[in-house]
Amino acid sequence: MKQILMMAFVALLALNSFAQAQDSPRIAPDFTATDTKGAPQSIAQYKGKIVVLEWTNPECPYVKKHYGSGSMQALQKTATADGVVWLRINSGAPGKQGHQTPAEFDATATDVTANIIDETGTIGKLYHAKTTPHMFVIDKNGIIAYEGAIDDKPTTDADDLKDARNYVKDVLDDLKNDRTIGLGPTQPYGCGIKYAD
Amino acid sequence: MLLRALVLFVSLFLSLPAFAQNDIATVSNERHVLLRLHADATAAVPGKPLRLAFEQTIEPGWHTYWSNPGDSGEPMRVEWSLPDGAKAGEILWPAPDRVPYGPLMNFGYQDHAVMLSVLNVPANAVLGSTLSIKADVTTLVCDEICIPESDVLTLDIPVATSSAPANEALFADAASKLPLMLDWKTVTDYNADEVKVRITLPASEAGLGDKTQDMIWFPFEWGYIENASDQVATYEASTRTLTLHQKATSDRDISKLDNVSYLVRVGDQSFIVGGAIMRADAPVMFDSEAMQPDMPSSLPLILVFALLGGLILNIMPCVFPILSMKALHLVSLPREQRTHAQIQGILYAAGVIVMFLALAAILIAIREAGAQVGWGFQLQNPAVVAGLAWLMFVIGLNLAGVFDLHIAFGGDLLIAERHHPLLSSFLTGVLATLVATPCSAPFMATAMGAALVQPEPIALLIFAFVGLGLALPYVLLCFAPVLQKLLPRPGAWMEIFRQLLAFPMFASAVWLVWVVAQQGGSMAVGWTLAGMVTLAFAIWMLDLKAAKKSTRRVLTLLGVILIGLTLWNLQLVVPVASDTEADVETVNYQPYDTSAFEQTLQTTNMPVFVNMTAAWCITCLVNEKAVLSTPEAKDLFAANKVVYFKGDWTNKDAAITGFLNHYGRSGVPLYVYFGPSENGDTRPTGKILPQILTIDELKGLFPATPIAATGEMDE
Repeated sequence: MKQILMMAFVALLALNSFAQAQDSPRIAPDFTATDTKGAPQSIAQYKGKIVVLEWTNPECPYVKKHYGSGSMQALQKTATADGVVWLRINSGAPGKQGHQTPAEFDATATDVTANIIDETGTIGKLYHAKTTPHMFVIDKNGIIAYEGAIDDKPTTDADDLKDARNYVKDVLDDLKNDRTIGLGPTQPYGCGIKYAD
Repeated sequence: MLLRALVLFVSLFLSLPAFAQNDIATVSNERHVLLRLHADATAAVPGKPLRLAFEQTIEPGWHTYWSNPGDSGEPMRVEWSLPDGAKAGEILWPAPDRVPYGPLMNFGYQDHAVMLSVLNVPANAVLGSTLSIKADVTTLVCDEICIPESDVLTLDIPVATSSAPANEALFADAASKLPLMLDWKTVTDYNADEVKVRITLPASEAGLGDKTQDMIWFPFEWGYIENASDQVATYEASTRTLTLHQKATSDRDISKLDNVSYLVRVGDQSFIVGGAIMRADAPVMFDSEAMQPDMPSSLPLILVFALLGGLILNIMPCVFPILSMKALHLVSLPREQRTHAQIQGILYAAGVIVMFLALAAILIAIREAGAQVGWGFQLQNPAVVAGLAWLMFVIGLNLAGVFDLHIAFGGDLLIAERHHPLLSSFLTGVLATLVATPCSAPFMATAMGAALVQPEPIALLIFAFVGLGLALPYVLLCFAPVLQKLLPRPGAWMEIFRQLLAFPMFASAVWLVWVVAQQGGSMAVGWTLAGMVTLAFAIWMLDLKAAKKSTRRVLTLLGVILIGLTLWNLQLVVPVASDTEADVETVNYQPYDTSAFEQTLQTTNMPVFVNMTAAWCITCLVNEKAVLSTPEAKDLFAANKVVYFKGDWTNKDAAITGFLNHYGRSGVPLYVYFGPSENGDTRPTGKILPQILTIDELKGLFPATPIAATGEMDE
């Protein structure tokens, strides 16, 4: 009797503190695209690997913060060296800021798996990508492990990189070490993606 | 006519540079947004707030962002460089526009926008000196593309004993565009597809419902609503229910939506509705000196008070019966066994202190995880309260002699004592702490508040001292045989005394059921009372002296299953939204809302009274019955045009927890009065009233005759 009551109360106290709803996992929607080199790209072909999707626009000041300082390239380099697939996607429409030729786009990053020009915005809208940068990390089972901002300093000031927590780096570290992802989706920040009108 | 206009234009143009040197800081015109910083007075008065305005003049076709920028973008950010002691409040944002951008939706401003902030001028600012205000401002401005613009805005204001208003039109216009306070009842409803905000409009605002066509609404937080999706507002005149619908997203845990508030805009008017949002930084209207709670600040003194508080807990109806029983048991022990008593006493104290430390650690951990909870938070969940009511009820039945001691709770401890006396002592300590929480939460709020605003090691130390205080009388009994001799001899009176002790238990149970009624309504009360019946029935079955062993087994099994089912049913005791519509119209207060409160302070000169209360707080209820709800108090408030905010902390509420923390409290009651300004443009800081209120205390707040808003007053 005493034990039952005690247990009930301990359980109630615990329930009260931890009764938090968990979101169900979201499967990364698949797409087929042709990259800047003419090779086919999809999510399905990378099953069993960790995939990072990065929406970018080379002329957006938020993107410039991460590329001008070299921090994005450094993360791309360590991630791909670890076997992570890194796909950079530019969903800007022709004639808008940041729209580039394949050669121009390739020149802005060397250590990524592929660069995809998504002029029609099909992939961007499939993922509800909103900003540049907007980051998605997909785990080996094709589940979106993280989506949102690149870090916790939503500014254009490169000085903020020093103290910033890079969410993508943390999520990749967690996945690499089979840890639970200590992070939910975050609010993406940056310029709006220049989708076709 | 034309000539006069031309002359006026030219003279205006010529006066601009001089103006710029005075109270406007301008930036180069190679920009898409022109920023200016203004003050609302010609001078800074020591100890008084000064309103500042950031005026954005935005190039046509471009836009800047609201505090929630929508799908992309960034709100204006300000880094202040201020003289020592000066503090600037948060940015107050006017209602934004929806700015569509392809498939995305941003929330921001076009053409012109003014953001306000209130600066506290330090009380020790030297008269005749200059107050130098510097703001490093980053503004993201976008059309197709986005450009971050930074500005360094400076403003030098003379420090003087009095000031004249400045930029009156600009400030009046900016204040009129800030969202208004309101006391409308709001329920946020959601499913995977849709977020619905239902607002019950007061009769005076029913006409607003006809303007649903022009209504736009904005969430203060990202991630719940598909920003770009179409908004629908519908109005049901018979119930005066305004419903706002929009497509939901799954970006964030939707269960947190209860705490999100929304801005509803109709033309130039806007309102804040919905759950409370914790503001990042506290309003500057609160002077840090006024924030100091009325409690000792030195650690040894706090510890003494913590110890005293713990001692007092011993005579609380929740705890006293169990402790008395332990003490009686001590008397009944044979003399030779009393040598064990000292060890038992220490273990009991250890149990109490460990449990207090565990509760404190949980509380600290949850606080640091960002959740806004306070001491007594367990009691904000009606299922926990109902469970405690059952515990009180069952212990009461046992004490009253309804059950055999072998089965019932307290007796079980005594039985266990023969086999595991040491474990039993420890567990009694744990139990005493658990059952003490309903008493400690309301009575100990101040001490707990002091504890929780301290650094963790000190907070834990304070909790440990409360525990020590609770354990001390029993420990003393165990250690000092002299005191044991003072205990009455065992005898038949013990049974009578035990039965007497059942009544405080029943009283506690009744009080807890009443609290459940406040939290969960009649359904929850029904389930709680039904649970008492089934528990009593189950225990009665367990206690039956059936002759056959097999029958006893069946009865035991049935009893255990019944208890299990009853405990399982605790999940049916759920909170409901409190307050009926009728309440809102007859009472003289409005529910506490951070935005409404801050704006009343900043944009009006009416006296403001804040009452933070909870249904499970006895002191609060006594104060309300005896003072605040009396016709005398209501007349007093009405005569002085007091805006009365009442925060109900019965269920979790982040905004109220934030307010309490601001005043160094972790529990209710808390009464704060903010008087009107004495010279037309400033307002004294909040005055904390004692936890035990009197009508004379309230009368003392007001002068004999009501003050006119602009009336002259002595300091």
